[in-house]
Amino acid sequence: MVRESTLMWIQYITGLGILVLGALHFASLTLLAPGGYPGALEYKIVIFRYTDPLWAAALEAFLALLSYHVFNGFRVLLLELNQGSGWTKAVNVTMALAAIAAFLYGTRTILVFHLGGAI
Amino acid sequence: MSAPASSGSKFPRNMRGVLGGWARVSHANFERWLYLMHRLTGLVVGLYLIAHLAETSDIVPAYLSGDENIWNNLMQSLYTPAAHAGLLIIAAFAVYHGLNGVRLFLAASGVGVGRPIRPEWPYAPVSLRSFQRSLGWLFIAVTLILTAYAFYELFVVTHFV
Repeated sequence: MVRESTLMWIQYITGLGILVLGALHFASLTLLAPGGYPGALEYKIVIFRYTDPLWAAALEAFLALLSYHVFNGFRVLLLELNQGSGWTKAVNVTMALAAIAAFLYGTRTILVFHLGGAI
Repeated sequence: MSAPASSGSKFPRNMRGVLGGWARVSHANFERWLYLMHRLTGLVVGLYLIAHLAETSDIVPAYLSGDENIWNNLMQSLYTPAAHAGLLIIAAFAVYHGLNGVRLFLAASGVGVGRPIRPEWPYAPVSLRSFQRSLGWLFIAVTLILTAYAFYELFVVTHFV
């Protein structure tokens, strides 16, 4: 079993990564998009963000960090609501599965642009 | 009244205690408000992530079929002041949560919490008179500035220009 203190440090480290990639994500929707926010939503620009290897890698890393950070955060909130080994185990397993599901679902969206419709 | 420490399937109920704890802010100090906001903003932005993953997955059928209208129709349906107001809240919450998270990371690392002193009247904790509190106000100011910029992008550029 991983210690809670270790999980919390990973929470901080992923949080710092999210801060950097989140700033890039916001910038890609505003400052870095031609025409600002409305331009960022245009089909061609969105396709470029997914097909360009660097942007896609940044999105994938952002997704990976968020999947851990968000669902570990939910886990902490849920463990505060109730106590008990059964509850703890149920929350741990559910949140881990939810994090994996969110990561795979988001990854599919990104990978389709590189591996095609087979995925 | 209080349930015993349990193992197995019978859990003691403590929801009122915890949620009451969150909402009990009548004597809350500045850091307590920051804590409450950190929890609320994290919850809202985390839930938004799930919706955002579902929303952006609409680009897949558009890309595979070559029908960009699938994407454009979704974007058009979300191009409303109400949806943009929601995004503005998400942007503000995300910025706040990120910056306050940096403050918490520094606090957990022992940065800006002051040096321990001998307890003397009026027993004010050093940590509450230290750099950490200034950092809290600084990050709130930065959050407001970036929220104003998000307002410019989401409302001024999209609806007024």
